[in-house]
Amino acid sequence: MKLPEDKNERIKVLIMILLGSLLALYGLVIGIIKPLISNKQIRTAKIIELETKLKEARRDIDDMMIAKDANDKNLREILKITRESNYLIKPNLGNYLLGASEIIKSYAEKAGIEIDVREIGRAEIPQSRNRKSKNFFMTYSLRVTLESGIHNFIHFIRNIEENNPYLCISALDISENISDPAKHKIAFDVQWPTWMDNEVGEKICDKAEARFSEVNSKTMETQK
Amino acid sequence: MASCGRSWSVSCDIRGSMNLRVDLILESEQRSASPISVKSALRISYITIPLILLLVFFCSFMSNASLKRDLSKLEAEWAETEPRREESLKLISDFQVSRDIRQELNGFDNSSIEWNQHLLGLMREVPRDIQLQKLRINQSLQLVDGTPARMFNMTLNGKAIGPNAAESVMTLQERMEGSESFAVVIREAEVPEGSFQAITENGIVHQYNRVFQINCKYKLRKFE
Repeated sequence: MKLPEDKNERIKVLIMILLGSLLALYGLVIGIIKPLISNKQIRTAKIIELETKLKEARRDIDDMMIAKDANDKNLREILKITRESNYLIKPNLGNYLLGASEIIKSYAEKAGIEIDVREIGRAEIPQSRNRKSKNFFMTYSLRVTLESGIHNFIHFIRNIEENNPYLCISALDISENISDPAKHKIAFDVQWPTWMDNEVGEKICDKAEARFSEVNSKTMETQK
Repeated sequence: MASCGRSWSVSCDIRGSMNLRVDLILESEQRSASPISVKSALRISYITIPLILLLVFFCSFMSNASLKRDLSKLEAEWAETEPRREESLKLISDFQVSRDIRQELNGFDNSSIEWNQHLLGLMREVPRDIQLQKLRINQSLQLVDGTPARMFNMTLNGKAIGPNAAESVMTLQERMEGSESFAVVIREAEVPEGSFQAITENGIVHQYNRVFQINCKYKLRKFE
């Protein structure tokens, strides 16, 4: 196409071409370039977000491998302490005294000592400030009173202490017995750990048992 | 006047001389003195600008397409990783629970004292001329540096018989603080002021025999 010979006409045409070009450029910018840029920005942001999430996820998955073994080890230990060894005092229809006094009386019988047992009850341990979660355990205590020679008494509490590393004799009173100097008047408190919420404890143990039985059955299957 | 596009002009000045000017080149045939003429620059730009624009669009499209591919690849990877991550987060949170439970149970173990051993040690360390009349141990639960701890105190009441009563009580106090079996658990042992006294029986004050009291503070037994 030739431009008009007339200068004014030519300028007009050129201005029209310029305007047209500007319009076309504007259209290009609005219709193509801007969406392209915004798409690019959105995708780049999504990619960065996903990459960060994936990085975190891979780290968590790596941690899981370590946590899995450690968790299994902890759960086995918890099951051993709470279910197999009965180191914790559990309520029998809401009654803690029955189980606890039965344990103490069995040791007393072995030591040939007569005892009286009185319930002190449950008490909370101060909450550690270094931990986010609440305490899982509290204490349950009994007061035991008896009259015994000191050697026999030591034998008696050795049996109690050696058979449960988690219990603690939290108070002890030994005084002389004027009427029978060979037998001292003794009173002591025995303190066991007990689940703060028994249902929560049982749930954790049930879950752990279910998990191990599942793992065991899988192992059996693979062995077959 | 113009013919065949060529122009000529005649001019006459006051001195009577005449100038004749003939333009032999058409306007369109005129060439610029500049090495790049505007026209050719324009012609080149007709091709290059759209080409550059096309190239820019093409690159943008390609980079967008590549971003789209990367994004869909990452999304697929995330879809595969997310359930595993959720599983791992659950397992990590389970692990934290089991770790807290174990730590708490270990706290019960570590914070207790085996009193049977302690009493046997005490019997060994008491000098022959001392007769213990009363022993009292009590425990209080406290928060120490944000961690719960058991604090034990022991009070010993007894009689020291013979001319070396004071030395014997001092020996016992020193042994309670310094002997191998006690130093591990006892922080300090002291004879409170006024507690070391002569024994009075039926209004008669014994020359040598003394009653005494030793207070022992135990080292903190943290639940950790």
